[in-house]
Order: sequence, then structure tokens, then C-alpha cells
Amino acid sequence: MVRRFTSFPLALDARVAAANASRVAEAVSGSVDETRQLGRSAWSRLRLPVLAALLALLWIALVGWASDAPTSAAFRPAERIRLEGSDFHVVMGAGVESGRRLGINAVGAEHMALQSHALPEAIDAAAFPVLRYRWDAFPRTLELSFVFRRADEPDDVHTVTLPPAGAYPGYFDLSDVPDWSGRIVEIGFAEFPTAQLVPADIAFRPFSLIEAELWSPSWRGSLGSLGTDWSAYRPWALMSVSALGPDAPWPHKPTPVVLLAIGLAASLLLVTLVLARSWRWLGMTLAIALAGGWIALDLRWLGEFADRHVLTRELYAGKAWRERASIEPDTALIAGAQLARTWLARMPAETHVIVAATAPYDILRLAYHLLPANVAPIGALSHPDASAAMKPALLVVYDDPSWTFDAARHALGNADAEYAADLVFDEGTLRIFALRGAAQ
Amino acid sequence: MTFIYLLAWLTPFALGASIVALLDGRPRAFADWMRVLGCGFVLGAMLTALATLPLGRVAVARVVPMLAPALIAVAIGVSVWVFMRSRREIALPREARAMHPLFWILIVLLAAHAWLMADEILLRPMYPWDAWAAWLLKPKAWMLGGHIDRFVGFDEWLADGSGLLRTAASWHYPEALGRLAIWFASAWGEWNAGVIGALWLVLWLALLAGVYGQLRALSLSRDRAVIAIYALGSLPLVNVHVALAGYADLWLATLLAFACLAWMRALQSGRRTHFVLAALFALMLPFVKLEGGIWLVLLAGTIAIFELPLRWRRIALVVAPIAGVLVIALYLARVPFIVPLLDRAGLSTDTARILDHAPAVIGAAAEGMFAQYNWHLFWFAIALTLVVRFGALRRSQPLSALGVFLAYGSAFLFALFVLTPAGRWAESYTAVNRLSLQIVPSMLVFAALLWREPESSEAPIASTPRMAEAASAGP
Repeated sequence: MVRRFTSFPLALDARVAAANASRVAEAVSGSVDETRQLGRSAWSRLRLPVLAALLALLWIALVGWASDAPTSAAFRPAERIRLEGSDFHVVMGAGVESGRRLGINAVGAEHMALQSHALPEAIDAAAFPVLRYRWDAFPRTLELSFVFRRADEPDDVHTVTLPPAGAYPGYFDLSDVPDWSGRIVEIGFAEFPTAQLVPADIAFRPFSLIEAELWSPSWRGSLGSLGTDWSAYRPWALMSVSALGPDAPWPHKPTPVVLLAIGLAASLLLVTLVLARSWRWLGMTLAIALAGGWIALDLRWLGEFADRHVLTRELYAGKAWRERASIEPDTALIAGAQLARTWLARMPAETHVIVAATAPYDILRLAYHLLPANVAPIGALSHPDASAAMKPALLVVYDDPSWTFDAARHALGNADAEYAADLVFDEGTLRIFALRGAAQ
Repeated sequence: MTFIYLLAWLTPFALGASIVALLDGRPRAFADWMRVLGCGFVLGAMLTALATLPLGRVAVARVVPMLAPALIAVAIGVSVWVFMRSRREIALPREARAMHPLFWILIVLLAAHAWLMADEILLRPMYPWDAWAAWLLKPKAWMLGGHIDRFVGFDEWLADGSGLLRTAASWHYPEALGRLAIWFASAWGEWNAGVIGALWLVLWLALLAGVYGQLRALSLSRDRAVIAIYALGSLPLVNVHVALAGYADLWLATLLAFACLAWMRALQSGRRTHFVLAALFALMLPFVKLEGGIWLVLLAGTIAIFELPLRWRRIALVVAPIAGVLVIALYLARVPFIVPLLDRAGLSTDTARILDHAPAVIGAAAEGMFAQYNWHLFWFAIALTLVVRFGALRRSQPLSALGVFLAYGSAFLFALFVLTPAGRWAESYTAVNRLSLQIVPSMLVFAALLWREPESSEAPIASTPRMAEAASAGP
């Protein structure tokens, strides 16, 4: 068993060994020139230190490139603007100072919290491209944004999504944000339920802002930004089934996939050149290095996956299926669908129901949640002759003011069409009309 | 959990496994069982879904009780046939060498993936967009409505006075997955996203088992087959399609990979039954997703080319890409005869605008393949394998054939994104990786087979079916 552990798990192509053996044999049997041998001997002593130096340079350059570290800057930032949590004041939601921290205890309108700090004097954005921030118990249910105001547009608030900070301070490279330019007069943070993932009404948990700092360019800041981008919690998003990376809504640095691929290939190329290995050796060694890189990336992915899964457990674990099924991100829409379903229950099951809303997402979600009604999206009426051919149907309009009803004429319309209709239900953002065909 | 629900699971396994055993040989070793159960579940699931088609508008509660006894009876009959036929066969000795202990680490890692996916599936209500908007909308409507109603286009639905027809934006999508979902949901007794999502977890297990079993049958060593299935099972986008269940791409990818593997077996063994198995998997493709039809045509075309005599094959291999390039050139030049045909196929004739976008589309596709978190180092590994093992590719005619199919497939994806309005899905990353996913397991199988030991990649073609059967039942 011990031997099996110590043996190399992959038996490489036997021809590699044969090729190496024949090369060694040629080297031994060939005529040896003494001077060349001395040179070779000196070079062979230097090979390893040279290789180590080249590899170190390579990886430093790669990490510097990936983190966008300024070549002329020092390792530590020359200037820092440090703000305690208690330096911020609550604009939306409710908070209380707890020593130097700012504890956020409640959200405000539209389930949002906002903290802000007016800078005593405007700062040059380009001089402070790195944001360092620290939170305590920041919940996975919330999305974190950095907000700022510029001197040239004092009425506009600029917003950028930040990687959520976990147990460690987060770093963010503001130079990736085109709006971070000119003179900055105010900075702050906003928090709101993660869109299309977490029900807004159960998303909030108390948390604290410990501190925020703005740093001048430095390697440490850039490396911190890279580390935060690679390791920050990334919640599931609708985009996740299509692309991992862009599904996290903040500007990104090059991924470890790119860094590993370039670094491994370049490192082994250097090894091949300096140690005078064959191209075949390079290919086979690259394959093994690739396997190592794959496992490293997989461990990172397992960590990220587990991180995403923590929120799923937080929201759904320990609940019966029916209760879990009711915990959906679009709380308001679900409530509207529930109202509509209750009303539709009085109608014959085969009644045609058409759904209209402002956004395609809402139309499709509502159609899904209105099942088992015999439902269709508003696109069903987009055909020019649709209203002429249609049988009587109900139109459920959810939060879409573009549909206007003329009670006197019994006519319902939007910019594209008009129908003979009666308003049969009207409560809040939900209206239901009985359609009788094209308006006369 | 009820008897009907257990029966619902047993049916596709029994039906598919018995048919695979019939066409591929009775399982004797561990790898055989993996192959028969993995490939068998996927085939059985598709056949079970299609078996609901003739039922028409039937109450969902009657679907499993009506079909399961008949399908199980077929499975038993086929199994008895397989058993009787194989009684006098001599099983080949098993591989004596045990797996290297380090490879258990890979198995443990796969188990960690499986646990996370399983818990995510069981807990979370249906999440991804197309799951609730397209693929699983129909079965939910059927389940809550109580009957398998026909889905029709908007105009037909609007004019229908019976109320027995339904519609949706995705009414024309193939229904195999929807019918499979209603099979399990009706057996469970209510609509439950966890019950439906579990199908995707079993699909992932079946994909790994089937690929492992087929790779072993194709003479890949055990250690390398384990590396291959670890690589496949650990791909992040594959994991996401399982954890956030409801998309059809992984089903298509699995069917395509199984069709390719059965085809490789057929080319290696010369047995017609392997061709039949490959054809069965390939024929299921259009029932899962619309582009499955294109994969079917590409695969059938490549198989046909490699069935031609050598001289004609060479001519076809030269003519096919030239014809493709010519069609594209005529399309881009807006030649009168070609443009209306392509317009009718839904391809834009605004070629100038499409070409303007081409660099961005190619950049986005390359980013999705090489720079995002979707595939670990998969595409780098494919490129490296092609370079390092090019000699093995040249020596193996079956692998050359598979390589040609994958090249056609890649060319199709390239043309789809770069030369049609579908390029916007690439630029927004919404489709480019999902379409790549459809070909990834086949690509991985191809790469894995290139790493066969030189002596095993030239496996002898069995001279008789009995010998071939015995050979295919190896460890």
C-alpha cells in the first residue's frame, strides 16, 4: 500500500522515458570538450537560481497584471482617508452608533438602507482609487453598493455594486468604475435585498459598518482588490446558469483561471528552456500541471458553491415543501398572483386568461404563478388579427399603468391596441378586465 | 414516498438498462453495470417520456399506473432475453490492479459536489428563468390542471372555444422533458420542485456512470477513466445546471455524449448493435431541444461520411468544409439565391452589422471558454491534448471520426454566433456557454480517449459477435 502511495499515479507514455534515456546515452557517449564542460558546469550550477528568479519574476508580473497594480506605486498606500462606521449617518433605514461602529437595525422605504458621509473637503478621485471596507455580520440576503456624489454633479448619486464583505475587510478598485472621476464630495453605502433571489420582506438582518477607507494607489490595495474579487461571496443569479463570473454584478479582475493557465504554461516553458528539457517533456509536464491547477480551481469552486449554498440553507432549510415554495423572491408579484388566483377560482377552469405587465420577467412569472389557470402572455394579442379571432378572455394587468380603461366607452387600450372590455377586479396594482374583442 | 413513486423511478431504469444490456452485452463487471445503469437511465427516461405521447389528453393521475406495468413488462422480457442469450458467454477476467489510492481523493471531491447539488435541489424552489418560463411550465400546468392538455400557438388558442387547449411563449418547444417531469410529479402526487429537480441530479450521476463505463469498454485505463469523470463532474457550469435544475442543455449534452460513445464502440467493435444504440441516443436529441435536430443531422452526416468507401470519404471530408465556406461566403455577399433561403431559416441578412459585431462576439465566446469560471481549465486541456496526443489522433480512425464531428459541431456553434443575430446572446453571455455545454461531455470523452495507452487504443476488432460481446464485457 505504501508503495502505491509513493508511486506516481499516472504512468506516462513509455516513449517519454525511452526518449530521455536515449538522450542521456547520447550525452554520455559523445566526445567531451573540457572547456565546454567547464562552461556547462558553471551554467548547471546557475540554472536553478536563474530559474527560481525567473519564475518569481514571472508570477509577480502576472499577479501585478491581474490586480492592475501600479508599477510605480509603493507596496503600502502613501495616503489614506479613514472613516469609522460612526462617521456615517443614516439616510434610509434606522441605525445606532455603537462605539466606533454604526449598527444598522432596520431598512427604510423599499426595503433599502443607506448610510452616507459628506467629506469635509472634496477629494480627487484619481488620487484614491482603492476602497477598503469592513462590516460585521453583513447578511448574505443583502446586496451591497457603494454610493458617491461628485462635485460637478451634486444632484446625481452614482452607484456601484460591491463584493459583499465577509469576515475580513473587503477591497475594491474604484478605478474600474468610469464614474469615479473628478472631485468627490460625499460617499456612502446602500444595502437592499438581493434582486430576484431573496424575498424582500424577510431579507433584513441587523449588521454593523465598522470602517471604510480610501487609499492612494498601492500594491497592497490592488492585491487586496484582486483577492476580494476572487474570494467574495457571489450569490446565485438568473445569469448563473449561463455564465459564472458575470453573474456577480461588480466589475471584475482577470480570474484565477486565466492566471493559472498563463502562469503554468509560461513557468513550464521557462523550466524547459533553462533546464534544457524536451518539448515532449514540456507537453507531458504541462498536462500534469494542468491537473494540479484544475484541482486548485475546483477547490475554489467548491468553496464558492458552498458559500452560495449557505444562503439557500438560511432561507429554506428546516421548512416543509409548501412553506419553502412560498418563499419566492418576487414577494409583491406573488401577492398579486394570489389575489388574482383567488378571484379566478370563481371562473370556469377553461377560461382564457391573458397576462400583461411592464417587464417581460413579471409577465412570465405571473403566468407561472397563475397556473392552473389557462393562461397566456400578452404576446398572444400581438398578432394583428388576434382580437378579431379571439374568444372572450380575461386580461390580468399587473402594475402596468400603460393600460388605460375608459369606463364610459367600455374600452381598454394601450399604445398598440384597443379592446372592448369591462373592469371586473381592481385592487392595488392588480386589475382584471373581461375582454370581448376589438373595440367598436 | 409511495409505491407508485418507486415504480416511476424503477420504470426508466429497468426499461433503459435492459435495452442497453440487449444492445451492448450483459453487465458482469463494475464498469459494465455503470455503463448499463448510466446509459440505461437516460435512454429509459427518454423512452418513458415519449411513451406518454400516444395517451393524448389523459388525467395525470393515470399516467404512471397506465404505462408503468407495460414498460416494466417490456423491461423484464428484454432482460430475460439478455440473460438467456448470455448464459454460455465467458466473462473476461477483471483488471487485477486496484485503483491508485490517490484517486479516491477525486471520488471524495465528486461526492462533495454531489452533496451540495442535492441539498440545493431539494431545498430551493424552481429558480432559473427558462425552467419556470419554458421547460417546466407545461408539466406544472398539466399537474395543477389535472390533465395533459395540448399546447398550441397563440392564434389557435385564442380561437379555441373548448378551453382544452393551452398556450405559452414556449408552446413549440419539444416536450420530452416536460413529459418526464409530469411522470415523476404525478407519481409523487403534487407539484414539488425538489422532486422534479432530483431528475437532474440523477442525470448527472448517470452521465458520469455512463461515461465511465463506456470509456472503460473503450480500453481507457481505470485511473484515467476516473480522472475523466472527475473532470466532467467537477465542471462548474455542469454543477450549476444540476443545482439550479430545469434547463434542457445537460440532457442534450448527455444524449450527445452517449451517442458518440456508442458510435465509438461501434467503430471499434464493428457490432451493429452499438450502431443501433448510438442511433437511439441520437434520435432522442430533437425530442429534448430544438437544436437537438441540428446535432442529430451533424452526427448522422459524420457517421454517414465515415461509412463511405475511403475514396468517397476523402472527397466528402474535403467537399463538406468547402461547401460550408462557400455557403457562408454567398450569404455574406448577399447572393440572390442563397439569401431568401437563409432568411426563411430566420437568419438575418444584415450581414454588415453582423460582421461589425463579430469581433465582440468572438471575444465574448473566448472569454466564456477561457477566462470565466465556467469550465476550470477544460478548453486549455483540450488544446493541450490535441497538441500532445496528435499522433494518437492520427493513428485512430474512430477518434478521427469523432474529431471531425466535434469540428463540425464547433463550426456550427461558431457560425451560429458569429454569422447570425444569435451573436447578441454571446455578447451578453446568456447562451454561448449553455450551447458550448451541449458539446462539452463529447469533447471530454474525445480528449480522454486520446490519452489511452498506445497498445490499448489499437484494440482488435472482434471477429465474431460473441467475441465482441465478451470483449465489451471487460472490466
